[in-house]
Amino acid sequence: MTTTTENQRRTVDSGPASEVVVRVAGVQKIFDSSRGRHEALKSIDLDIFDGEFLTILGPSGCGKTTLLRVLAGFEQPTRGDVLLDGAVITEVPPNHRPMAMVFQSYALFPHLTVHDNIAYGLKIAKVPKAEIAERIEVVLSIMDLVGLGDRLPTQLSGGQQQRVALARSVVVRPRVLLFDEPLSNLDARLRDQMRSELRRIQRQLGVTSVYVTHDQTEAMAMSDRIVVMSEGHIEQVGTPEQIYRRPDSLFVADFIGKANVLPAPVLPGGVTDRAADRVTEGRGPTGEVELFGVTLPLELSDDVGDTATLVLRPEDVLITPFDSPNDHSPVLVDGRIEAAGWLRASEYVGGATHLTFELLDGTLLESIEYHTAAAGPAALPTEGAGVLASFPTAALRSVERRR
Amino acid sequence: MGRGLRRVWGRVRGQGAFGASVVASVLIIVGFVLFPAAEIVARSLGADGRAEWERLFGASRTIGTIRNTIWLGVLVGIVGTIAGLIMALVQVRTRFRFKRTLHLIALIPVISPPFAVGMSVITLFGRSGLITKGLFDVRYDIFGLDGLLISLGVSFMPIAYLNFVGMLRAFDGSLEEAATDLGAGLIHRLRTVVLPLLAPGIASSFLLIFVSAIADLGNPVLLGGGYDVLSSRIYLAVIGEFNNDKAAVLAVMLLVPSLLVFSAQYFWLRKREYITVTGKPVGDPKPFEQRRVTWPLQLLAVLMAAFVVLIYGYILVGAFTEVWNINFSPTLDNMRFVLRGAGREAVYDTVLLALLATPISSLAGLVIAFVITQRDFRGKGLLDFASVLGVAIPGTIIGVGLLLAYNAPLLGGLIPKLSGTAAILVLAFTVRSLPGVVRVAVGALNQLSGSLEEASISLGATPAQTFRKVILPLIRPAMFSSLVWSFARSMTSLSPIIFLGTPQWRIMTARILNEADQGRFSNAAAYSVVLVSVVLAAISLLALTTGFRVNDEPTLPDRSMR
Repeated sequence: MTTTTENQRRTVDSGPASEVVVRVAGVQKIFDSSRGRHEALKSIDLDIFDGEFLTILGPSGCGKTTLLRVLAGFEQPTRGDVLLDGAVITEVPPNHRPMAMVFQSYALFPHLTVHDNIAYGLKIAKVPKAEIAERIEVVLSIMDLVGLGDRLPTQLSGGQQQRVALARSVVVRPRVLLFDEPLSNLDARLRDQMRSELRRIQRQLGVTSVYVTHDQTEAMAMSDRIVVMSEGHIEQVGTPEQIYRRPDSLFVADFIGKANVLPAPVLPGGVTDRAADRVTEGRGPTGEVELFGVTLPLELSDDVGDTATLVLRPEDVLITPFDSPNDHSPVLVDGRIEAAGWLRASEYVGGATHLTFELLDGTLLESIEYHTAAAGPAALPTEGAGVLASFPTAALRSVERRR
Repeated sequence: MGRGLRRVWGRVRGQGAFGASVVASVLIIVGFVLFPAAEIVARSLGADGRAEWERLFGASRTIGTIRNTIWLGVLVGIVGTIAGLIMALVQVRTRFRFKRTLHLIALIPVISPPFAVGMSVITLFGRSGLITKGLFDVRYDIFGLDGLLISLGVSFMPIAYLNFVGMLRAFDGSLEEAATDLGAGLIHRLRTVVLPLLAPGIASSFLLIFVSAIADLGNPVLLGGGYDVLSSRIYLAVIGEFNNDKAAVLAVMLLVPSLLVFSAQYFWLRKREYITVTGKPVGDPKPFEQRRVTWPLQLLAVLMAAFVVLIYGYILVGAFTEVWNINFSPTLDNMRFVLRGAGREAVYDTVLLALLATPISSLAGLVIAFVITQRDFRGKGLLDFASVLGVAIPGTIIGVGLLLAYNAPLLGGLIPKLSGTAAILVLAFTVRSLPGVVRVAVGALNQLSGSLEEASISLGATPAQTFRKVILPLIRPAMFSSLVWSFARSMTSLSPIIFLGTPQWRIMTARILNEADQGRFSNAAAYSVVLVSVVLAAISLLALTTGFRVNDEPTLPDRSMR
């Protein structure tokens, strides 16, 4: 930590400008067991950049932990390679990889004191005694564990155990830190606290980190970049905002945050600039779709066919009381679509109210209204009342409908 | 498969001393369990063997022997299972005040040779027995099925007891609470919830006792009378008729039911036991409150405990009186004979050989357990099964097999003739106590979270360093208890070594049987007392130095077959 370079300290805003530390190239993992063959990873490609905090997010069984274990060397990929700083390390056993893992169960050695737990990796590496003492002292103070060195793990609180586990891993100065759902055993309050703690320490040390979780809030709050996985493949890689605002697939839109899913017919002959003849990368084809009877030009997903799948975040939908919804067909005004309907359900959750209303054509749309002291739930329409919903067309995102 | 094997080999090779011990452990199993068993089968299929098959199956006596053997196993299985269940219920589910005493009494048979019970049964219930003749004045002929049933029932009850105690403790109390909430009374609850969940354990206990009972040698020789069983006939074929071919054929006849029943338990029931009783216990199960349930249970348990005490107490009496059951004048002559006289050598030899075998089987068992519990290891199921074969195969067969297999130099003199040497006795002890050690160590290792090992490796430690610095310290308590256990087992085992003893190396259990056979029961009793004392001393020594408690007695489902 005394040798942390300026380069490592800098927060990474992703992108090819940074140096690639870990490269996952076409990694496939098949588990053969008596119960059959399970393809946990289907040809994964991924670059992890120097100093970044990368989160692998996905539901249980999506392969995220398997991918992490492949990085650590605990699982051998069936095909493909893992590269560290440009060198292939696929066959390198885990104890020879300059990576350290923080486990869900912390995996503190119960027979060793906090001090000896942290010293474990240093003693293995035959670091001189004086330096071990010095490094432990530093890490104890960073982790706020001063004075606990002589305790046994069982004499620590959950949060302290967590910090010891982290201390034990960072003290060996790994090139990459690996986290396997390290916060899932903590209660909600402590989890929030440890989340920012962990992020602070990671920033301070500037160590490249790969973090596996199924908790989207954790992923959004901590990460420089998020990898969303599903059923053994990567759905999308991007910054938290990209993942949330510009989801590539219905899965991503649905898994992260809430989303209204609106099918919209694509108007014939309208689609241009298909992937094949695209010049600018990262932009999809454009075309015209019909939503609630309104024709819109829109950037479309690559796999778009007769119908586009549009997602719309609830917070983008504004609602206002409206007296006679029956006479009002949806219109496009100043880049916003306005549609009338009735409020069907309203759920007050404290800081906000979740509203569900039904449009004239029967479509159900969700909205979220945030409250302040000045504007409480009393200002909202009551259930059954007529409402006018409006949202900017820019908030619509056409997503791929895989599987 | 090729790739799998290469990987396993790669792992082994990269681990130096550890790899060497894996290879050594596998060699022990292959060389001293599988090879001798195969040798027996081969011998029985040789020209002389085939003739014996025809001769034996032509004789109605053989069919009777097989029937007797199976029948004995079934009856002892039933008696032992019921007795063990009652003792365990009282232990786990009542507030009985003398529970701890009951527990210790129930474990006495574990540390004594089963045929010591047989001797006591003869002197208590035989034609001039203390109880039959002395108390009721009947000349009861205890020799035969009835006597065997008593002594084997007492001897093998602990198998079921330990099995049930483990199961009942792990029982999820909330299941019963759920049933109570649904309006089920106690009897109804027992019938519909407890018993069905215990069913696999009941079946499993029965099968393990069955295997132990048909394998026992000392008791049938001692008090079988006209009741022939396979093990005693194997003994007679080797010792009396010097007919090894006949012994081999009889051994195969015994091997088949043993392996079948043991495999049924191993492959089928063992898994079910874990499925039915899983999850974290929600505190200790609640004791029964209803007196109409607790009273009969406690009464039965006390009666059984009293019976056990009577049997072992009478051995003590025999050891310190002139002629057991006939002349009750107190004397130290018998003890003097064992400790100072002719028996001294046997005590010395047995303890020495058992002490030699203990670290070997502990180390080999630990290594095998470690390999078995490694996550991705092809063929580990096979190794696991092979490692328990040491008890699945009756000791008589191991003994005869070792005798046949190592009666001459092997591999062109690479392996010298082992029979008649101390080495083969140590190896017999080792393979017999190995399965228990493996089970204990596997249990302990399974309780360790796999991430501890990975954490260590992730921090740069090699698998060998991980084993030494993390795993070994954590399973030390279990290893101590398995040390005691394998020592006790070696000290008390008879059947595998009775054919291997030599004039130079005398084994206590064989001497006991010999003394009893010659009618010198008091000497036999004195030997037994010394033997149990040595085992108790070893346990106490370990308890004093390491804090090992009798409670840590491994809950082995397979203590069996001497």
